[in-house]
Amino acid sequence: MLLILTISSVVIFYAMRSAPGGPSGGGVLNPLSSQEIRQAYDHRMGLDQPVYTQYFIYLKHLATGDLGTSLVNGTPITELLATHARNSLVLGLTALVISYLIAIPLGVLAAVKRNTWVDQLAMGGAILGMGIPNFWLALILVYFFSLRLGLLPSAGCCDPPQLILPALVLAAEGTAVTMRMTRSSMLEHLHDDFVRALRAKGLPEWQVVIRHVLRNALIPVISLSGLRLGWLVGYALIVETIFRWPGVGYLLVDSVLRRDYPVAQFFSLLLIFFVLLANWLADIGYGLANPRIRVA
Amino acid sequence: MSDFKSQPAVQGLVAQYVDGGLSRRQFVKGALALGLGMTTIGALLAACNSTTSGGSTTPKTGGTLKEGYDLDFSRLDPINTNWYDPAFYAVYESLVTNDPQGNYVPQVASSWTVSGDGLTVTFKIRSGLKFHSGATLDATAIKAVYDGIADPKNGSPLGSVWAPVASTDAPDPTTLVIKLKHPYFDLFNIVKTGYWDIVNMAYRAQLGDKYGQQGVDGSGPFQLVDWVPGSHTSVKRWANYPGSVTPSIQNKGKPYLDGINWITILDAPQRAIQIQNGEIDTLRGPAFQDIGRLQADKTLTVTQLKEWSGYFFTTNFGRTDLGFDKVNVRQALSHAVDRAGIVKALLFGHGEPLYGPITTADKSYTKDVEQFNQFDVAKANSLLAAEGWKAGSDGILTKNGVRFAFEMIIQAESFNQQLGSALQAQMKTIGVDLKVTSLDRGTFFNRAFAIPDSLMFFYLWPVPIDVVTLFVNSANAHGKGPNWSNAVIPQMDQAVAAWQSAANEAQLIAAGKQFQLAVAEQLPFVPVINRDAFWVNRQNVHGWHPDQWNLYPYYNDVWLG
Repeated sequence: MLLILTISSVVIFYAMRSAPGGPSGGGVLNPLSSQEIRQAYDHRMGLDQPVYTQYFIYLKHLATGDLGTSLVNGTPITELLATHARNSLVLGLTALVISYLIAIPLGVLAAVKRNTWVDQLAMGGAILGMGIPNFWLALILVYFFSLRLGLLPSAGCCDPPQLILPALVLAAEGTAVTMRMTRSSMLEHLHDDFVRALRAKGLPEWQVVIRHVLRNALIPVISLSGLRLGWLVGYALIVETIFRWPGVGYLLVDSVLRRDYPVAQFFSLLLIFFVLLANWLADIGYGLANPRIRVA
Repeated sequence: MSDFKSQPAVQGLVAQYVDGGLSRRQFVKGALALGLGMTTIGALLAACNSTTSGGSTTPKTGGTLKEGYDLDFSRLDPINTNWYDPAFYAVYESLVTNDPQGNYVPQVASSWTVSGDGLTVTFKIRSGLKFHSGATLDATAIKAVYDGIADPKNGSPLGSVWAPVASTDAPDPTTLVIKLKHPYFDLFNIVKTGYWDIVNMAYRAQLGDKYGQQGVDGSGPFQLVDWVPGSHTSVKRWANYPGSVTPSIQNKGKPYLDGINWITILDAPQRAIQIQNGEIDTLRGPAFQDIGRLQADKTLTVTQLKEWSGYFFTTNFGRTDLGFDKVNVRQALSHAVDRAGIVKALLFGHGEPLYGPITTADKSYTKDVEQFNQFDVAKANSLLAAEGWKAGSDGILTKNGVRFAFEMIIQAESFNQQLGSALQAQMKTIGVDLKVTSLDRGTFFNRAFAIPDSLMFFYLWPVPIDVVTLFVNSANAHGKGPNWSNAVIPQMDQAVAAWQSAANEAQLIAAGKQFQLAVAEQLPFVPVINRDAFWVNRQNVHGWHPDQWNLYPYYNDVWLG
């Protein structure tokens, strides 16, 4: 993980500085400022030094716990982290909860009621959920719930009603994928020998399905969760921007466009770290859910 | 439905909605909680909308105004900001301002006199003024600001419009004397802008690069709470505000509002949704396609004003192979632009063609510019043919083996992209291959100062000729300033000098006309269109009056019903 983070930090650092137009080129200073003024600013900020020198200074600061400050508004990154990471966490967790609360029961139901209208409706919804781009879904939801019905705010943060639409949009694709995965995994196990044995013992059907089949069927779903966390991070960039939800994704897009180097670097690395961590946690969770893998 | 309407709870809800105390969303939620169905609620809303009024007229203290803003907020440092935004009108004050009729009226200065030779302007400064920090705001503090603008070390990019000022003196705390190198009537137009707002220079020096980011110290009725780029800017009432002496401001005491929260809404369609949905109270700059819908909404008031703005594109005079250094070629490109068509198609009629550099709203606007730059493809073709350009096999003009192809850079924004596409199509009709490249802000300005083939730019300034002088002045060519065409035209420099040496309003207007004609004919840049300004407010907002002569409304009189 450390190796990937180190390589990523080098790539991000060089990529940011390779992009034309630094902070003094319209990101921070007045765009009408003369070259002399912009050069003076670059000198004050150490941006006129060779990139590798800047990189080592950056590492030195990181090592001492100094994450830096935003060039655009002078806010320490620790403060930005506290507010934006919290917002992203709230949005991401809400989306995850919505997703699992809908996907797993519907996936189970679709499997148990295979080839009935319940199954077809659930799977139809899943196909829609996977097929609709989230930015388009966002527009549709805003149109109906904000503009036509006036029930929900169309954007902003951080009242509970403002959370609903972005969380739904963020949850949509994951819900669909998880629902399909749950259904197919349930179908694999519903006719296993141990299930027949349990039924033969006279166990109520709901106990067979929920306590025994679902537990086994959840293994691939848990494995998928790690990947889903990664997707969530990616989709959050889009959803937070559309709904102006001031999370890490929103801040990252904004800081890249403004060439706010310290902010863009730190939060890019943070997202990479988060994706790596999510995959690692998924591996652990997979092992916990499936003792055979843990023993192996 | 009549049964429901007779219920006290429903009546109370309706009364609150009609008074503007509830947004439509809050009304619907309340009605649902009372057990009303959507059909009934819809009917109630329709009935309410036909009776919604402005409510009572006695100002109420309290509440936070939520204002949607179509741009991102720049740092709140008058001397080195990207742009001055509405919050400048809340946290700062300037020497003078305009009333809604365009007259100069007092703000920090209580009166002023201009000497007979036009070389000395003396401002009487109000006594007892303080900055938010408690520091004294007197003539010496104002002199420090103006000297700071003149000092190149402070990085004000607008120093060239301050060049006619010889010195600023503060002989006593209530007297500020500005001595001029030559008569400069335009001085009042300059000092009224946000770039000349009065800031505590000692505090600015103390904060250094973080001034305007982490703190500000002005003397306006509100104090900065926070500035979050890309998100919002918040201010709160300044408890020690001494009151305004500006005659057009009714409230002479502290502001009524507890605070103001400006919300950046860069996604154009979302602005209209948010104000209709009651998420914001006021709005600047709805998308043009939404204006009709907002005007039809009886819970809203839409104010339409001429805007002091313009879109133009440059032609790099260094591209001699394309003939951009020749006025005939520039005029040919200009004749290919169907400005009226663009206004109709892209602005939905809410704007005007720009035949010269400035809008028709300006005092010095002259219709004489309209003899130039009219849409005339035949004339464009003949001008290019006279310069030796002939159509190649692909329909694109060629001359001496050079194809008439060039790149125009634009800032990545939806309207810019639409306008860029329109220009691209119109250039094609005269055999010019225009490639439009959309760039983010940082990259755009980086390339602008490297002088690209062409760039499209939008300016907004309360006296547009002042900012336009920056784009055509030869002193600002070759990366020294925003003369991005590298245009060196003696006629333009003479026109700028005449504008900057006008001794009275009549001379200023005459010089302004001369300037406009010079730009319209010589085309140091090609003017395209001007758009109208739109402001929207909900019925619960009172005392909020955007006017023609100030870029933003003042907030002293604003209260929420």
